[in-house]
Amino acid sequence: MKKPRVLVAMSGGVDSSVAALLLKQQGYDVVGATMQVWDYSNCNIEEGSGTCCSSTDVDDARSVADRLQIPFYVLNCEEEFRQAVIDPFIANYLQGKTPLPCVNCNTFLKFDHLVQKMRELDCDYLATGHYAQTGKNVFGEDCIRTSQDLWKDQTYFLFTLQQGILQKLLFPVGRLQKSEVRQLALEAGLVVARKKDSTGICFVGDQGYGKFIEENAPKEKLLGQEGWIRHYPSGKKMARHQGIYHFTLGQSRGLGMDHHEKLFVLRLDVNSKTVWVGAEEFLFLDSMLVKDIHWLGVPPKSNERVVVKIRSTHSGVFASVEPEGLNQWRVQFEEPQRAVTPGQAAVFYRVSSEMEKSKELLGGGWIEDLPAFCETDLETPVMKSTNVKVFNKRKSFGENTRSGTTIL
Amino acid sequence: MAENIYLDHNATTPLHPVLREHWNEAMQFWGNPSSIHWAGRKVKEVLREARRGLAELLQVSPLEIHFNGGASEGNSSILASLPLNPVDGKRKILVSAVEHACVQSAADALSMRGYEVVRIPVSRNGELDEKVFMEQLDPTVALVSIMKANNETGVIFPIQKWSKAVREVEAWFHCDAVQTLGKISFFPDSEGVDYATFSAHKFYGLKGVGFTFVRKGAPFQPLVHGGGQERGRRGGTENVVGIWALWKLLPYLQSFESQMRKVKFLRDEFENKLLTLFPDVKITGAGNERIGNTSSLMIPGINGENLMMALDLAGVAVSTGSACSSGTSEPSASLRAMGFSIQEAGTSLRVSLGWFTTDEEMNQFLQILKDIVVRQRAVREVSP
Repeated sequence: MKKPRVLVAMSGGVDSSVAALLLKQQGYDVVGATMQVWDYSNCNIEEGSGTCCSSTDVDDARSVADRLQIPFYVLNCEEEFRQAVIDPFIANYLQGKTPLPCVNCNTFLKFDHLVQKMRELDCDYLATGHYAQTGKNVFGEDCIRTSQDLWKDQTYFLFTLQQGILQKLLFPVGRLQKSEVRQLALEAGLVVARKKDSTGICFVGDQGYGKFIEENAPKEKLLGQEGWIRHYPSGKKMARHQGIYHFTLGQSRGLGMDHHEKLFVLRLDVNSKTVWVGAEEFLFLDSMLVKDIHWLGVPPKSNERVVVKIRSTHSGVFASVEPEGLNQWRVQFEEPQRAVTPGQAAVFYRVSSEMEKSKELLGGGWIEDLPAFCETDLETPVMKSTNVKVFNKRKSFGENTRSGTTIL
Repeated sequence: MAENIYLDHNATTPLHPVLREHWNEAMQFWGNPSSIHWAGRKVKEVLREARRGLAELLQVSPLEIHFNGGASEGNSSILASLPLNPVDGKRKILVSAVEHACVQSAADALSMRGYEVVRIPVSRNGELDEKVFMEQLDPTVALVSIMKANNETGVIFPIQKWSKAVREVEAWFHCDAVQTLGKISFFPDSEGVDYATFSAHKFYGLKGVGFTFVRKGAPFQPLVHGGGQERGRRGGTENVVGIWALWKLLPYLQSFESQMRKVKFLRDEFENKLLTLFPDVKITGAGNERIGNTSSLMIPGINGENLMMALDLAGVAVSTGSACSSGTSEPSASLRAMGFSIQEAGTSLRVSLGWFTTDEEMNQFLQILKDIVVRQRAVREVSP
């Protein structure tokens, strides 16, 4: 009987390498592929320094494939990547948002381009090294669940997947702990066993985002980006800046200002090119607007308690979701959240029971612009906008820490 | 999976069985041919005999042949042999638009030295635009570089038809002849060229060894300087085993015609059967004189890269164009230069047969190709 054939997306990292290894051990007819997405010869990334898919990583993936004796292909996806990932990334930054390119990469390259490859190569499945699991939800539908290793869970990046392809997807490392994955790689003698985890965005090197935008954005878009850094709520103009794309919400380092209180970036106003800074307390919101939600599972009922994550490292918070306007939802947090960042994804999970460790990925959407500071708000102790509350300073609330309380 | 079928002979060829058979013989040729003692003498003989045999094959003088590392080196060194900067107003370099990447980039390097590179267009059917060529061919031309047979389409250029005109404007004529030996006859004199380049691995020899014809009196500057090897034309101790293999192959290169008759028959039969199965398939360069082993196909409704990968998974090796060193595949540069769109070039597949390709292999290949094309077209119709 013909063995089922599986196409494995191999980045050259340890997770996708072990995914290929496990599938091979399980008796699949395994085919490996790496997407070459960016010409790394033009950037300063130290090769193999733990980012996704630089050219050394292609060599690593090839070496793992050779070790496993599986056919391996490098797919040139530079054009697709530029259109689907880089261009929107730059456009978002210029609009004062903090984009999340990995979701576009998953949506348009890994689970669109590669699904097509899978079909054309007569493969039965597509596998990746994501920490995620597939399964059934309470309604008996196919669904994606969080991985066994909660710390490594990557379902946050998978919310745009189409229900129809879930049956075709395999996430072989989703049921393992990261330490087990490394152990398997070591035992199999894979060159990538001790390789650093990928962190950050693969195509932005040590130079940082600002520099990347300046080197890659259309020149005319970079003109006239300077503006004021203003203090909230005093309204005081504190300094000039070179472009709002140099700033991220919640950022406190590198503002280059001498002030008696620690300052945080509170808002990026793309219209007036103003960077608003102020005390950390103003970073907390108790609700947010989310647009273009893609529901992978049955959408939550009114008042249903779901868990929402507002960035990949966020531990998740209970919230309710209500439609508000066209293709837009109001997400009410049970506890105020720090640095709700436009351009990042809001990703929802259904909690069937408190005991259940693995949660169902329900879907996700994009965090909308925050209510702007108005001139009339200034020098008033409390902001007028209804969904902004003022709290006493709270430190590192809601960030994922190993020791902290973790919902997901 | 079927037995592996190799149909990518224009990229490289398998080693000829005679080399396997006599492999142990090569082990004795380890001496340095420049040495005066017995170990060197023995090896020097191999070089001399190989050179003499190749010269005989090309009907030129052995003094006009030097060994090197292959055709990319040969092409690069010839183009780099032009004066450092244009002299006497000779500043134009004419190359066909479908030259191999090494000629293209060697020409581009010359443009940094004050030369003007003019690419002569090639039609969708593979013919050089003679009108443009003759218009451009004036006394300011320093060098013309046109290949004999195109590696991707197999189309043969009538070099000899143009050589008189090239000589009249006192330009040097270089011909990349890498796809000739073992497939068609090539005589530098009757073609009327001053330079020609060859590579052993295109005709069942080893990689990393080739040879270049430089007409007596034509300027030549070594790319690799060394201890006077190859009469100062290519420094570095010679690739003796590679040259030994060339020597061993000589009798087979002389009698290539009977092999190629069979190859051409299989190729033509394959094309006819394929066109019967898929009447919308286009054969690039059909109707032109082509080398008998090459079939450049455009199969509407498929993606060449996916087709090539699916064929590989089924054990069949073909290509979608020039192999790219990064391991990714790009739409064929030659087809793009011939005026095909990225989309059209993206549907291309190059099948190139070899001396040892069998009837059975071609039948198997046709069956596998048919199944995959039918399946991939169906998939692409559902989700284009």
